[in-house]
Amino acid sequence: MNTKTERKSEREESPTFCRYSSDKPTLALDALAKLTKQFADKPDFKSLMEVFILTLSGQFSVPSAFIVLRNPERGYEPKIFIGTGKYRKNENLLTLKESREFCRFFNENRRPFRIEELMERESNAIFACLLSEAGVRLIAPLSHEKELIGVIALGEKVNRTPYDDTELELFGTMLLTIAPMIANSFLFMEMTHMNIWYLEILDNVKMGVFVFDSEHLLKKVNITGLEILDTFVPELIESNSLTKMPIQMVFPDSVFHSWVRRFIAADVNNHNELIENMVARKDGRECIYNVRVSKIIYDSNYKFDLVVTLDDITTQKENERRLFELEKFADKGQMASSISHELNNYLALILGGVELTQLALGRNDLDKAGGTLEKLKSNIDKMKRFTSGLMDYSRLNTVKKMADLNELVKDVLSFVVVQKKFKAVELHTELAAGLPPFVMDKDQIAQLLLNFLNNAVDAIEEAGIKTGQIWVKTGYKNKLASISVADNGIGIKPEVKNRLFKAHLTTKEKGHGYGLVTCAKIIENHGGQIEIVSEIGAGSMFTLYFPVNTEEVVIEK
Amino acid sequence: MGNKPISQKKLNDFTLVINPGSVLDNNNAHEMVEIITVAQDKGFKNIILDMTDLEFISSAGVGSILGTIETSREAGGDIILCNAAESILHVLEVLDLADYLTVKNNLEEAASLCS
Repeated sequence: MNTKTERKSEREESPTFCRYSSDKPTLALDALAKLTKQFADKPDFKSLMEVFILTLSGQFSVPSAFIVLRNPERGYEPKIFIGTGKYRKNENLLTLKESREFCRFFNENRRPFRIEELMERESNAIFACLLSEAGVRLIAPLSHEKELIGVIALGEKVNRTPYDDTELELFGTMLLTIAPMIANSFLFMEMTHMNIWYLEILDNVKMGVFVFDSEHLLKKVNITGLEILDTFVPELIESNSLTKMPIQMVFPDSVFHSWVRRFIAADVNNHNELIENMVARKDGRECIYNVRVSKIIYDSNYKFDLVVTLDDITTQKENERRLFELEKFADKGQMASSISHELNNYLALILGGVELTQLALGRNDLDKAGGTLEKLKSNIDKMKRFTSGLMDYSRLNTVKKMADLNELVKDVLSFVVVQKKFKAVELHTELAAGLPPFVMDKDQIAQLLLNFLNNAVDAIEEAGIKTGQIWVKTGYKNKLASISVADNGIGIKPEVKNRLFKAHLTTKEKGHGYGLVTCAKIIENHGGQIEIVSEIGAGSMFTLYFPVNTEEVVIEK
Repeated sequence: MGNKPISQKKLNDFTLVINPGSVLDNNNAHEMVEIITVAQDKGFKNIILDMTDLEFISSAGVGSILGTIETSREAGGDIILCNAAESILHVLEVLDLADYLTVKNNLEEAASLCS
């Protein structure tokens, strides 16, 4: 009885057909209500749009319909095409996704159009011809809050009748109802994409990131975090879901040695950030992590997330250890070089003393010769002290006593001037009057001065200047004693200046770069400071400042 | 209302019988489209929708039939409805589809069109 023909004859006789006009909108409202609920429950954008197209198709008895939507992620150009019936696989209509003309028209004309009207108005428009050829009969923009979201088109109805005004009105109403939901869905989609984007970033962070809620239950862990757990707590990975796992289980004491209590304490004590190094050990495996614990408060009800990041610094620490070993090794070499350098200085002094003695003896000046020999003996004593290891730069033994800086300068210069390399240089001295004696290690300061003088004469030699000049000056101001050595040598390059007191740095062909390292140690021992003024080709001036301590005490350091 | 899932059974090389379950609405209309289109792609030009269990069909449910029927007809087959309850037939009538769709009383009658 219920064949197509039979149903038709029954309908012709039955009064139920009269219900058409009232039941159809009811069905539409019912469909919309369900769709709304579905949007609210699970705003899965693509499947919802597919269902909406099917709803329109069923509601208007149209086998073919399609919707073109702007891409929620990429601005306002239409990018999404969803079709049903013959539009499901219509390649030609896909060009609408790229048609700005199509988009612009419906942006300016926010109302449904029957195809006939559209063709009358836009007969030359490619999109209008395309729509007509594809059998589109009704087309309408989908807008929300002045914004064009997309365009919906319906094909021919099954009974091939034109769309009447009531249907146009119903179509418009349905679109108005659905538009805010689509807009929300767009928003949801954007949020989802953003969430995915953030998660991707999180997973690309090469440190373990663990996020716990305010009850210290795990909310999120990134890939590196999972790898850490896989190394130290594999049973967790093998078990079930990690979500809601208590922090104590994520960082068990057996591996992380009570660190979990510190994490929680950081929360309780409201520390914004705790940064320390933590060692994790298990079955002979050991990793060192730089731990950062921070708290993110995200609402006024004191809901927060505790974020624990573990940065694996095991390799870094191992490298540091190796570097330390290398430095210790280098220190030994450095010490040997320093000793050699200092020995040369002493030998120069002794040589100068011998030359002075020879001169005195040549003049039969036995008194002078005797005095020079005394100084010579004193210098040999100093050298002895040095060679006994007392001048190890790294733990320079300092014996401080009251001494006169000006006298010390005169003393050193008296030995220097007789050296061959200083003979071609004019030495100028300017010693401050009223410079009080202060507590110092005379030997160290002499060594310091000698170093600067040697460097000054080397700089002059390097510059190839015939009239080399060195100025030695002392000063006293604001309870600071100063001694400066200036030359008109080659000068120091700026990039070298900052590294002058670092080991291994030398600009000299035969240098080893340790002389100024010793100087730095001596300056440090005296609480002094150094100032360097230099100009390439013009010369350099090294000025040392020492706090003047006039108390008669012997300080051994 | 707990919905019975969509099930399918091959009748012959060209015909697949699909039972949409008790409800065909927003929740499973898209699934229905997928099932029908996959069957059509596999060469089932006839689809019989056995509506024995169907208690409710929404516009989207109807849309899932309309959106796929032309493919079957273009292939020389059809989507045939059978065992539809009065309420379902009423919806189809309201939507003015009675003439457009092929509706049979029972599976045998529907199958007789697909031999």
